[in-house]
Amino acid sequence: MLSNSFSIEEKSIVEADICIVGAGCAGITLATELNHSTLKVILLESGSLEYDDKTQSLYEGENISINPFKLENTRLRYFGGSTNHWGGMCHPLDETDFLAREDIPYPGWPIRLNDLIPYYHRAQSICQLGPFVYDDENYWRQQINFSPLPISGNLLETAFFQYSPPTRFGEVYLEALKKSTNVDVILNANVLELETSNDANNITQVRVANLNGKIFFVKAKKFVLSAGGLETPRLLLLSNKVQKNGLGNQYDLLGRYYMDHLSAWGGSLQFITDQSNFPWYFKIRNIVKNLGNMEVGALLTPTADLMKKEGLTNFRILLLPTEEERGIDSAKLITHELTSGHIPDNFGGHLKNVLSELDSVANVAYKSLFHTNNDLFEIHKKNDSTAITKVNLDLNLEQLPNRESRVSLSTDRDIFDQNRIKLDWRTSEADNKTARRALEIFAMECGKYNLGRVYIPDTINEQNIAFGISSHHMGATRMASSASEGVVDENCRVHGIGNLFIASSSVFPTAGWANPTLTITALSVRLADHLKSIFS
Amino acid sequence: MQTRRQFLFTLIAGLFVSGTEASLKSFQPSDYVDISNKLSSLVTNKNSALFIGKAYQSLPPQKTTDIPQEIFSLLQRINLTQKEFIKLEKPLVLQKIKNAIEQDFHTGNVELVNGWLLSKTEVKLCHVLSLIWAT
Repeated sequence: MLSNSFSIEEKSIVEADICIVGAGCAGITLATELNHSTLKVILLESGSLEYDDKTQSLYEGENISINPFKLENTRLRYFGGSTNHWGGMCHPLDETDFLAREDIPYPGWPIRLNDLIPYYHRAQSICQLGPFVYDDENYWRQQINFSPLPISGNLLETAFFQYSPPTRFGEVYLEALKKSTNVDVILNANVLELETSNDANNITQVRVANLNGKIFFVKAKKFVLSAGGLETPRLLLLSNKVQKNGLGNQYDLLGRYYMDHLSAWGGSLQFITDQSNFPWYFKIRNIVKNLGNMEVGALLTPTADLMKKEGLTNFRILLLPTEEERGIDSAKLITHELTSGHIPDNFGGHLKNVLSELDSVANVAYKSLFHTNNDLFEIHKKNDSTAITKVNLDLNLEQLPNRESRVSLSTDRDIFDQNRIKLDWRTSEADNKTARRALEIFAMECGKYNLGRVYIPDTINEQNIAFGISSHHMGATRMASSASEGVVDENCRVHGIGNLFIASSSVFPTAGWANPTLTITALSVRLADHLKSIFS
Repeated sequence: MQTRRQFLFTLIAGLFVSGTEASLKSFQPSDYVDISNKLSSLVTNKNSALFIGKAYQSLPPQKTTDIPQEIFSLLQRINLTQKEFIKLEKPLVLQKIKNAIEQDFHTGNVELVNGWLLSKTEVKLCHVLSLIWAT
């Protein structure tokens, strides 16, 4: 069922078994998994089915971080949440990501990769991916005739990622939820506060408002916060009538350990050997026809031994095509999507790639049309028979959990007179070390095996590297087995509160290198099963 | 202006010379000319070698500009005497250099020159050449 807060009576109370706050990847997955059950579920979404500026402005906040990006630009506040603009790159966390690590002074996850594997399998289809096969080189050799980069494998290894279309959760799962008889999606419903019992051991109801100023309440037996990695801790901090520091904050952990994947343009690799032997590493999208046109790519990550030996966090190095190759890939993508009846995501960006490399694109088209190997246009870069191909290095690394990196409340207020968010995102020397070593090690491997030479930009050697953001908001309600080490337990229940759960990347105690959406989805499926088992 | 592509040509085109037990004092003017000519002949992109060599020269600490000393040092890196270097055929010299470069990357004998992580052997080669061509 789909309804709107504007049609709900002022100060009325809506009742349910489970109330889910936030309809992004996690909230929609939960609601979809609970669909057709005997449970009455309410899914509250701040926005409507379309983007609007006024609702989006609720995401504005104060950013005092080293990188003062605009908080409202990194997430979307309408049905489907940030899946309305995600890129679709998927990979599960590595086994080592879950473990306590000697050089990382914080506990690992209270669960292990094996605990999540069954849910990753189910998350694959939710994210419209292929089979749950990632880093099995033999499998990809058979499927796509994969050839690995000629490096040793002792320090760096190949990981394979899959591209979701990307799934727009708000579009793909809307119809099923509209038809649902037990799930009610309420749009334009902004949760302002979680109200608790006098001892704060339970949530009694949530106070909800719409932009017209109407207030209503939702009472439920269980509540799930799935409002994203920034808004979820904000709601807990705002709910401070009984627990003055916010809910789940007995040990001053709420909002702390905020992490993002640290982005660094790590220079470039100039090939000496023929790069055409291993194209899977630097094509934008490799379409695998015999696997239902699924899209995969390959990148490099550190081995567990290297991370342990050098005390490094996890990272990945993606080899991105130069502008010339991007133009050709973009042309292919546009053609593929348009012939499939879709307008490609980031159409403008792809068009720009094509236009900036018209000669190269025209040559590919010409060769394809006339089955010739002769170029239509002479491209000066290719005149020399010994021309070397260059790829750019996109380095993205796991941030070491940092207690001083935190989300808190600003004194600024939004249109509901609620404190806006304040972000103080901080990196550490350990992050700088990982970034530098990642590139050095890669450069050394390229030299050892005569692959090419690596250019490392000066910015990587600055005292404090100006990392870019990946908009993966993680860690501010971290998972740990005890309340003294985290905000939620292994079942994503807030420590000390019997009926409050969190489904979000904010529960990640460590981030690994993988983009978070697949893991958020898997955790949400797991939470849905847990909730069903509680009620049964 | 040096492009990255040109820069790499030098490295790939690869390099040069030799010596183990030879001493600087044993350098004869005629050897010097032969070695210099052969070194120059190994490199296909003079601009790139100059670019790297000059960039290396400008990096701290201060580098020597003594050409015979630098040639001797280079020959040591590739384990050839002056006479061996002069006599050895070009492909074999190139192979020696290639081996030395790969070994440098295995043992961490690398140098960051204007952002490029290079083997000390290839840097030394470019430095020697830049000194020779400057005379």
